[in-house]
Amino acid sequence: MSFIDSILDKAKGKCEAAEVFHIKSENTSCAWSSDKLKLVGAKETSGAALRVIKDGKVGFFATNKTDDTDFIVNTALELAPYGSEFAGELPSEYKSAGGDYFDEKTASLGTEKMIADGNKMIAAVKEKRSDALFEAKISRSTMESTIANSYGARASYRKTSFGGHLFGSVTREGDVLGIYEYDQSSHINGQIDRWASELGRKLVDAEKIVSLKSGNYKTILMPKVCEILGPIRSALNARAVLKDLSPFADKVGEKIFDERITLFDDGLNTETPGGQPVDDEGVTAQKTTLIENGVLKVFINDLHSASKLGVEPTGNGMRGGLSATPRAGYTTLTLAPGTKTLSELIAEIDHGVIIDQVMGAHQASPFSGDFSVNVDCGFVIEDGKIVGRFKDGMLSGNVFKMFSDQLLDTGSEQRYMGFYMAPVVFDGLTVSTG
Amino acid sequence: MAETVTTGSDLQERMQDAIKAGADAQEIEIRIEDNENTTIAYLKDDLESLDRGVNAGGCVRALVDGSWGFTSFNSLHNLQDRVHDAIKMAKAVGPGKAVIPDQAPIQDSVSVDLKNDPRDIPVSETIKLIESYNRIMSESEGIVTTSSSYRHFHYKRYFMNKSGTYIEQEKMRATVVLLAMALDANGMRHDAFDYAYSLEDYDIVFGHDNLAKDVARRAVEIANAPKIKGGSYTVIVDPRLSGTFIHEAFGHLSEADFVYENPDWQNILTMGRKLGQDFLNVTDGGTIPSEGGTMNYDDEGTPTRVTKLITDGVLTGRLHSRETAKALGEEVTGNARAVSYRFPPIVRMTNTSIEPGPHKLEDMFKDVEYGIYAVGAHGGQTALEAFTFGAAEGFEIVNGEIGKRLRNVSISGNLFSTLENIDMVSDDRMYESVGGCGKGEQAPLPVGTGGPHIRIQNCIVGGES
Repeated sequence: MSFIDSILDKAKGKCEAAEVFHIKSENTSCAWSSDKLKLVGAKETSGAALRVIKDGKVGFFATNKTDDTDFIVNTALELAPYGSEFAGELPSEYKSAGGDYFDEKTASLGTEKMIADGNKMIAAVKEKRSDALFEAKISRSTMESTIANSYGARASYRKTSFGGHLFGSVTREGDVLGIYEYDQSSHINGQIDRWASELGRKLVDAEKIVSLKSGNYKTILMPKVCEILGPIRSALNARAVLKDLSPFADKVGEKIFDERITLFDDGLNTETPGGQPVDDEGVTAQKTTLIENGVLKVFINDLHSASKLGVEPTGNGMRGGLSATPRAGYTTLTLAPGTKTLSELIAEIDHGVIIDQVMGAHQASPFSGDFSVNVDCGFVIEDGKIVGRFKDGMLSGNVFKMFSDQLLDTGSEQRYMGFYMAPVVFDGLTVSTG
Repeated sequence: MAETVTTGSDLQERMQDAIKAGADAQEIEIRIEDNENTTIAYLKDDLESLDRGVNAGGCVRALVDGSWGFTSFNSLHNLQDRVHDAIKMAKAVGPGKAVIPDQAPIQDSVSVDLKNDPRDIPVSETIKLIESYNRIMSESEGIVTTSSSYRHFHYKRYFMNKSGTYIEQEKMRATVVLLAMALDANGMRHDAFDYAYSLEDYDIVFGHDNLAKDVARRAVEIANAPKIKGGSYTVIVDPRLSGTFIHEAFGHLSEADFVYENPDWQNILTMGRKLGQDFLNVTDGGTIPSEGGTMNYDDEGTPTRVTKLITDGVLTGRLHSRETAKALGEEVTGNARAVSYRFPPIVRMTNTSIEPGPHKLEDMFKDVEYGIYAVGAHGGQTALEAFTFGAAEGFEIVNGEIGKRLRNVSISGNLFSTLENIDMVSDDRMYESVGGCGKGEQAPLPVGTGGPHIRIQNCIVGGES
């Protein structure tokens, strides 16, 4: 009997429902520092998590010691009387949304090719700024997931992912510069060339330091700065609604953002690494519009929170690994793009800033929307052109206010760094330079 | 499908056998880890989660021809094949310049003196206790929602290398975190939090009724406090925050892995460089007892010690792995750490602290006409010479007295100018070990941070003007 069948069989009759989540993944990566290849590494991961529902409560145990199935089942059953409530119902069959999240070329990419591509990338960007030192990482993975429950539903699927980063630094007494490029995808899609060309351009733009007075500026936020949008992610989650954490709890149907803002979660996106045919509870993946033309539609949910709120499941029961019970999480949170390229957005600004990198986003209060972050890499725009980099600034504002009252424009070039978005332009964000 | 992990009695023998497969490597390291954890979390009125897990696996790192290969896995069968894999990967890198110093072989087994072992406590008891703290907060005036959580982890690591070292090390931590949220005038949520932790005793979970009341009171006060105005201030940083400050502002730059191949940084961070006033002393040490970064050996088998990073205002040391120490001709310090068996060790801090100084706390406030008192840590981050950190709570200082609360106190700065601007250091000190440190992909690594009160002149504080 297979591991999964054996677990489900042993749990039978001892609880209302049981669900096994099993993952197996492998990853290879190459890492460079000080311009040189430093490390080649490989990882193999396997493990399983069992969730039992007994008297309406959850018993949960995760482990990668999967030889002792009695111990796994008994531990979950022992914990269930004390566990959290489960109001949903596990699906009795799994229906895949049909997308293909597995890319053969990414799966079979060898280390020799990764090493050659990485060396080429560093050589290309070094040509633009020979005084810089580079660090990089290129990484590819495949993952095989199975979710099965005691109602007989079972789904297995494979995914790939490809990503990494390129970081360039220039060290001088009194001025240390560091800029990175980074993004993640389900497959190879030109990242390496893109990182080299974008970082090269930024390092050249950064050569000149210009002074900037404290004040309110037209501000282009680059996708890398999506970390500061955390409060929006939190506010659109059904778990936050249930727990009185969301400022939008009673605002469904109301206009909460500028009418040009449409936000959706896209489990069907096969370009980004977050998509999968079913979520981690076996609910079919879908595209869910959360905010349409500024109007709040729904919150992402898992089976428990959907049932509590009396709404349809959205397919967002995510685990973020093995070790925690599923709860509402994003597959690919997406800000609908606009039509202008970054150069066009810059050309329209007479006096403003580009915020390319910030530090300290996680210091902000996760629900109020207020933030105050260090500008780790920022550029000054004069008369539609980048004139140089400014230093030692802090950017402050409130993300909810930005999306309701301060939006100027949205760009077209989307990147995925946890939030699938293009550059966004806001009016009057505060930059303090001391 | 079923994969087996065994950390049984024959483990040492099997590691020994596997290492023999690395005859042509300069070094082979095998690390096996067995980690178990339990999390109990209340959110608002109900239990949100009760999660228990076991995370066990291993890794091999090989140094061949001056280059490293690394492999990690969950199945501990065929450790010899894993050694071959790591060697193959090191060879794929091609010849490199990594050299490591000889290590005198060590055989040791380090266990924690557990006073009350959290693994022996029925989960029902802990749940009852956490629920009671949660209720105290949620029944307090003005509180909209609460979060109360308990977590413990216990791990054992088994380390063996080709140099002949075999070490077993145990570690435990139990932590309680209480958080309450209140609404401001615009309906936005603001939180206050506090915590307690121990590295050897479950009993730390008891007796926090007053802490729960205090967290609720602080949340309401913070929600009603005005936002701080951005600008340059004299800031007095409390001991709970000064440790985070020195970790972010200076600690990361003392990690030798980013200077050892960067001559520009070596020119800037030369030993003997004056960085602060004579009373500024900074240390890092895995041998400081009972904190997050405490351990007898690092993940390369090097014994830990206290390293003096800044002595009397002058740069006197940095943190090393075997490779960086050899490259810079300095001594190993026991700072090669890995967050788990999933990663190779890299240079990390252990317990980093500003040492107590000569000043009395009351004298530090006395001549401040208008300034900020920043209390408790809300995270921090660093990028090369720039750093930022958030205070959990902030107050104005007016004519030497602590005045009204301000919210969103977040400080940014340049390492060199900020260290120079520390003009007073108090004679008290406190260590903290709640935060986890992130570097590259490796987070959260348990670290300790410590410090006294410090006063910083001309400190940039973010905020709308």
